[in-house]
Amino acid sequence: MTATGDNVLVARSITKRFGGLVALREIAFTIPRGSIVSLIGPNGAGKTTFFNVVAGLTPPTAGSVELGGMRLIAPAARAWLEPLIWFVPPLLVIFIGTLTSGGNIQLVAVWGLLALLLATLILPTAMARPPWYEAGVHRLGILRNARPNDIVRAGIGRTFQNIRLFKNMSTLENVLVGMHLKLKSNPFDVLLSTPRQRAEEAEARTKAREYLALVGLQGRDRTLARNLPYGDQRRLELARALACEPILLLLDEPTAGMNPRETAEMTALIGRLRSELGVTVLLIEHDMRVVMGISDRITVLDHGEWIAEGTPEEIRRNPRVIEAYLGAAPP
Amino acid sequence: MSEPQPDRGQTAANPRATDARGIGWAERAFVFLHRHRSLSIIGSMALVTAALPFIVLVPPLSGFNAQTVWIDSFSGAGVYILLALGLNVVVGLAGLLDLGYAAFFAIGAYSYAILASSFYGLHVPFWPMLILGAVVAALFGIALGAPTLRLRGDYLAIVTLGFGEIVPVVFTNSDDLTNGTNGISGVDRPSLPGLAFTANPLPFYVTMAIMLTVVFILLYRLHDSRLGRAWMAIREDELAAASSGINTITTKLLAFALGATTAGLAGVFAAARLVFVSPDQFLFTVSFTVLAMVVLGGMGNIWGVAVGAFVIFITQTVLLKQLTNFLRPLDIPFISQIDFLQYQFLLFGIALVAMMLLRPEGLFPSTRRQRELHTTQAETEELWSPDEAQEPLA
Amino acid sequence: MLQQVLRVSAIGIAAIVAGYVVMLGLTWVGSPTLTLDRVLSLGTDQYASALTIGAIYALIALGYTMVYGIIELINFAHGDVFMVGAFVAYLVLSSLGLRGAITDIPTLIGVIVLALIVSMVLIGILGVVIERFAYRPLRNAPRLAPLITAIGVSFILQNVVQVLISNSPVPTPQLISLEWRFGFLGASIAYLNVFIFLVAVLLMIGLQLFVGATRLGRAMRSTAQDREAAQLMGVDINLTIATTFFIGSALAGAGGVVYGLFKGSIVFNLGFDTGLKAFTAAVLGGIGNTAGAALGGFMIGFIQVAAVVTGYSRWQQALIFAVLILVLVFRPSGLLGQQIGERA
Repeated sequence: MTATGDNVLVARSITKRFGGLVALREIAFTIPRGSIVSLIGPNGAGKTTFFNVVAGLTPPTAGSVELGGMRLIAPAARAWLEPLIWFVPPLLVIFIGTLTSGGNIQLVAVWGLLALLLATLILPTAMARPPWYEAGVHRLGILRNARPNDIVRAGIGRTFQNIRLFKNMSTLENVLVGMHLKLKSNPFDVLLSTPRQRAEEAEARTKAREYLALVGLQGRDRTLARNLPYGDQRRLELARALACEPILLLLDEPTAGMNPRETAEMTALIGRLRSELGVTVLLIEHDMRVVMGISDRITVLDHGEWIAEGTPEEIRRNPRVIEAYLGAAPP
Repeated sequence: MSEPQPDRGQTAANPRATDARGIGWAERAFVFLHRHRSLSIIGSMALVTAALPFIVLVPPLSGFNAQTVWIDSFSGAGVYILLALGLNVVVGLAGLLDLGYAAFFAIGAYSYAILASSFYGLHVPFWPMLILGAVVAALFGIALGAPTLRLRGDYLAIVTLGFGEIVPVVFTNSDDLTNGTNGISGVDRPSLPGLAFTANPLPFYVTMAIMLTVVFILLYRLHDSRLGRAWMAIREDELAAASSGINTITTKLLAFALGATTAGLAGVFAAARLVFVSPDQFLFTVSFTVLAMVVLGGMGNIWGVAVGAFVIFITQTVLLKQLTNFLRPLDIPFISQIDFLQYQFLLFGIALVAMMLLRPEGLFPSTRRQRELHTTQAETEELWSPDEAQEPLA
Repeated sequence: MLQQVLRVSAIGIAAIVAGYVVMLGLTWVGSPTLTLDRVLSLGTDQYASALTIGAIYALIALGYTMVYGIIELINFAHGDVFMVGAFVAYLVLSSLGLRGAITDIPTLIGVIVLALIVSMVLIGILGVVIERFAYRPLRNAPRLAPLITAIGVSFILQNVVQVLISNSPVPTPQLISLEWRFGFLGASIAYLNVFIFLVAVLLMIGLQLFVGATRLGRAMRSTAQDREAAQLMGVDINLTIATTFFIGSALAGAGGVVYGLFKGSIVFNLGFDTGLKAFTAAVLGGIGNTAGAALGGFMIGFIQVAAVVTGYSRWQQALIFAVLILVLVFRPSGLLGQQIGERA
């Protein structure tokens, strides 16, 4: 999936309301390929909410997001059509059955069972949303939000503000889960333990170790994630996010809680991600040294509204930004 | 922990073992078995299957029951082991609390009874029915699992409980289809050219042993695969799992389907063995007993669950019944007067409560859960040389 | 506050009236050959039953929902606690030598109050004891452990009653005779139904007042919201949880007493069936929500009787669960439960 043009991500007029609270108001955003963009703002500005919208965890009240030219997040259109697809075929079957059975109860029952079987096949498939189903749905003009796993397939990986690792799985396994979409084995391959599956598993393990080495966690394959020190947990989360080979990486406060040395290491690591892997990065950060040091561009939010955007130099001098962080500027 | 002693290869699993090279022999054996897994499974199952009929000839076991009765109970135990293994996938691996698992058991059993008995006059042979029953159960696994997908953990439990109640009720009330409360009798026994499956329990016993072996191999493969990891990820943190690319809907449905498949297999076998099915063989007690087996055996741990199921089953059906007869002639005051059969559920209840209070991780917890509950930090990395660890397990 | 009370009462009365009309309709549908007279009398009778049994389910459901709200445990033993309450009442009444209806009102009231007090206190204590020894040690264990223990306790309670009292159904004295009726719209309603309904409503109001206005009640609510924060604020968690269990179990005990008065027969495995329906009621209304439990209880009572009246008595259980599953599909947190949004 290549980005058309220069922009990896285009967010248009994203608004998010929680009841009466407006968490985001018409946020518009573009992220050029290969850049590192920081999203900053005081607490409660809506930064994580924005991440959640882009990552498909919560639908926006209005607005849309395009990744690589594909509209992933969008307000619903013709959503009512979908339930029709589900229920019309079984109902049709029952209808035909009743008409052709001529009052024979047994026959009607059989048709009823067929309808039920059809519903059993259609509904879970619809809920699972395999790619061919999505394609068909798009062709009918039905739009609804992509699910988080679809977002990953489109090329976005993310980390979380309060580290969400799989605590009782090992380091290696955490990264292997990150590679979920890159592996192709299906249940049958697994059950029969075909050579292809075994080869794929072996390659996957090698690759996973490479990711671990990249973030500095080599040699600790079997350590349970819950037993890692804090800084290493953040690095593991990063490795897991990288494992899905994303075009865009969303990092939510990657250096939170780290001491200066770890922060410097993490910052350097993020820089290497861009230079070595060509990953575009959008980052939420509170540590201004990291932000100023590594960003190509910075966007500032306050109370859900966009207040400034520009290079680190421009932002440093922007009066609105200073006001948002420090209160009214002195006269 | 103090460190001055030389490292003798102690691990949480084996605190004392060493050999000349300082690495526990038990650990080495474990590594070897782990690498050639399918073979070890076949080997150990063959060993156990051959040994059991002889072990029960030893007193006091011989006093409880005749050998044929023992072998018959082992077949019965096998049914529950299959059920526990299946539920282990749903509850232990994927973390979906299913309280109505008996529904799939019933579906497997009734599919066989309807298609292979004198009731309708249909006589589909046993062996293909195993596959067919499993497939039908899997379809129902998807059907009954689908409504639960958007629900939080405990709501999922109550809905599955609901299905577990609805299925027997449907069977009870559909007299035309299922003969209602009277059940279906005259269910066909399996047949092989030259081998009769009649009163002799041995063929059933061996068939079950083979079924279990196959299921073990398949389950271990699933465990260490992309799908197994996806299940565990969902169990740990569903949101993070979805954000790692896992389609939680499909994965959960697969868990239900695979869990139901095993129950379907167990159902077909049970129907063929008892030659009779009726709705009260599939009530909540069954769902709960299987759940208790999974939890007590050690959730997530395949062989732990199997052993737990075996132990609980034999205790309930054999030991408790025979305990009364055993103790009565001994004339211990007060104790010999007790009819243990009457107190079956009381004892079961006490055992459950005691077990949970003392060892909530189960008899044989998977090393993960033990760490989770008692936080030990044993690591045996030096045993896994880099290239050994590369190769995925057979 | 007064406005809220008036609003809830208005909704309640409207619901009751609506339910009555529906029940009459269903009665006619179930037996189209009956005359209007008979439909009225049968329908009224059944509806009174529905409200009565619904009230009992609501009382039990409250216990489930309160316990779940505070420690997120499905207390499977709760139904059997209700059953023990019914048996305690039976023992009290039979030890007083009572067998049938009492016509002297002061004695009647005295005896019933005695049975209620004894049962509620004893069963409340039973609940506290169970919590202390079977659930408290497992507060930090994985979620399945106390669930298994709860079922273990359930087995123990059932078996003890089965062995100590009786294996088969035991007749209980129906102190308020079902013959005592008053006229209503051409049909008649038994005083017993009204009595049970009022007892349940009074107890529920009492519960709301307690939880809303007392210090202990506030402690219960805050512990349910955020246990750690409550602890930091000085709330005694153990005492709060014990109180919750006491109240929940006491309500179930009261339910047991009135159940015996209503049905006239109790049996050791009563707890399983009734408990399951009451639990379904709690989930239907939104588990953790006391108003939801009450609503759910009455709904389940209604569905149960509706099934009987339309000739589908055999499908009771299945219908109840079907309704539950349908509701959960469209409202995953129950009717009055809070929608749990996704938060990263």
